[in-house]
Amino acid sequence: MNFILCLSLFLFCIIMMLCGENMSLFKIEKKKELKYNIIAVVVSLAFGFILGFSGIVTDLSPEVFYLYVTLYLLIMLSLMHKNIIKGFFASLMSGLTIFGINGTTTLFFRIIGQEELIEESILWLITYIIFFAILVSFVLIFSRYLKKRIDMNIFNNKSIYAITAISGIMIILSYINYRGDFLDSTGDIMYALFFISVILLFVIIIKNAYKENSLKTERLITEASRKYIQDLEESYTAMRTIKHDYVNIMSSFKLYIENNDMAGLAEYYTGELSEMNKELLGYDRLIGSLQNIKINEIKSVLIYKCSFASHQQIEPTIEVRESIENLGVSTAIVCQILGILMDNAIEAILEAEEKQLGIAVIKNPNSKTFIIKNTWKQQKIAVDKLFELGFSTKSKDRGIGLYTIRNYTEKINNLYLETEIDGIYFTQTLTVKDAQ
Amino acid sequence: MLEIYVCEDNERWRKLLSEHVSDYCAVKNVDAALTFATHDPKSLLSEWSGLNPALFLLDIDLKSEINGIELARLIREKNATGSKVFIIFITTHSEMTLLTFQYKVEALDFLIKDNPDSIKIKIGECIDIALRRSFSEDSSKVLKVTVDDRIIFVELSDIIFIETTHVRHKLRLHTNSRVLEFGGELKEIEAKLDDCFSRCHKSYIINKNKIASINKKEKTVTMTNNTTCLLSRNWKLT
Repeated sequence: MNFILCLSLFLFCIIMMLCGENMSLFKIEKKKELKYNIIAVVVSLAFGFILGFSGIVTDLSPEVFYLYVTLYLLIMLSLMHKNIIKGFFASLMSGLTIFGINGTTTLFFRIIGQEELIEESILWLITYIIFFAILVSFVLIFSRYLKKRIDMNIFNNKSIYAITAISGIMIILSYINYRGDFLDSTGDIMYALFFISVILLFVIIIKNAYKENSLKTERLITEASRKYIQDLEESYTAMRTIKHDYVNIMSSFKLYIENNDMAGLAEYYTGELSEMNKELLGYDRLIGSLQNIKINEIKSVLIYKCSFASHQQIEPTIEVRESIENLGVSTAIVCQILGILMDNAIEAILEAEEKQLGIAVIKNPNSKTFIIKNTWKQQKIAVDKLFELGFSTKSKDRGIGLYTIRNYTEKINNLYLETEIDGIYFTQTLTVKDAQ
Repeated sequence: MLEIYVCEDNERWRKLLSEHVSDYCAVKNVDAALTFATHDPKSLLSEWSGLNPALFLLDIDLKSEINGIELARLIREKNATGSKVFIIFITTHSEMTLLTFQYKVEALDFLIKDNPDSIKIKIGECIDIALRRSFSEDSSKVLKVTVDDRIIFVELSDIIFIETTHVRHKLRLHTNSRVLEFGGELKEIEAKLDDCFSRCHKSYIINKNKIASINKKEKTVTMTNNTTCLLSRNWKLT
């Protein structure tokens, strides 16, 4: 029983330190550290003097010592943290570590059956320091290992705060209780509760770590999917508007013809209609050049993106010479990738001096190839840099976009992407193998 | 010697191209010369011996029964002896309307007529590349990879590293200006590379000339393009 308790206390200390370290210490500005240190020392000293002179505490017993240290940590860490509440929890966690180690040491003596040695303060202190050193080194190694693999934000979690508070109260209560009889029933219940909360803490942290890891990639993919759906919706709306416009124009034509008003018709055609006509003809041209693509989703994404480009004064050239019918990869994924590539291309062209955009869809014996070639503002940069998460020359989306595509090509068999920089030209070549 | 052939139906352009070629060969004193310039594809085919490495500048629209693309195909067919043949197409179309074409035809480059200044520079560059690929010792140092049916050549000295993906039989190759995914296994690629390359990890082959720094503690290596590759436990730089 004592052994389990001792272990769980130790585990508790580790978690507390990890939480504390992650929440506060790494966000401190180095310059301010000294200032806060001084404030904390002065305040805790003042507190000590008040306690001493008022006669509440007459000698410097271990309790007073812990009180000092805890108080010091509480003040310092709360001050250092940008968010005072978080800072308080962080320092509370560090404070609890000290109580935890204290309990561990006491229990250690109990386990080896040398309870009377607890009174030997020097021996007790040495054991205490040894335990503390083990703990610190363990946490340092552990947190370095963790940081490499998971997002340390998992310690910033409400349920962790709550359970910390509960187990903290338990540990303080049992600490007060230890002056009395350890084995009485309230003590047992408190220890049992404490034990359970430590296990809970551990479970929550592991679960969070697991969730956070898969969430990160999922979030990116959801974001890209959301954009893809938005693209589809907008392209659908655009098509509907065109249809609506056509009907309107036709009915006006009909009116003029019925009235046999050729002069009016000519005026309408050259005047009112010409602007609208330009846009409609543009669409016509786009739809015409893309008519060989028989996959509607892909066609509409390309139409929508190309018409968007036209609005930005970019005239895309499109080559689809053969009929494109089926792909070996889910249409949704290919659409999403094409959407991202087109967005990136348009964005890059806007920064470039010369504005050119070329799109080609090619049918090969066993695959289909999509080529998107655009001009860009020439930069001395390694292509790999563009694929890094969050990297972008300008906007955030581009960084996410290429990262998302890399996620797909990394895991999906039939997708091959080639990215090439050649002077003022930037070319993305996506090859989609046919299903076997 | 590198033989250079020009086939262009417009006389003014034929003269201009021939001049550019002769000028470059004379000024740079390279082992190349203009061998034959014509408007007639057939006479070009009969003139070409196929014994030496050759560079062809072909107009796409030849106003003859065969166009430049078919001529290129005939040249490749005739080239049974396997001497080095480089083809450059000349066209009036803009860069962007040629994507399908560029993809399907294996050409060294495309010259676009709208910009005479850049043509002169590009001709020089192409002659240099052709010379280097035909005569220097580096000529064999090209890695041939395939993406489905398409063959891509990458110069070994450009390769920074090659890595595996999560998918079997799919690799990713990195150069400074290109990231390329293709089908293959590291093991078979490793056999095609030279001494500059090292299989430093089960998922990586790196170019030892492109290492920026090695982190022995973390067992990683940072390449010149700032990417990080893993090292296996017992790998040593030799």
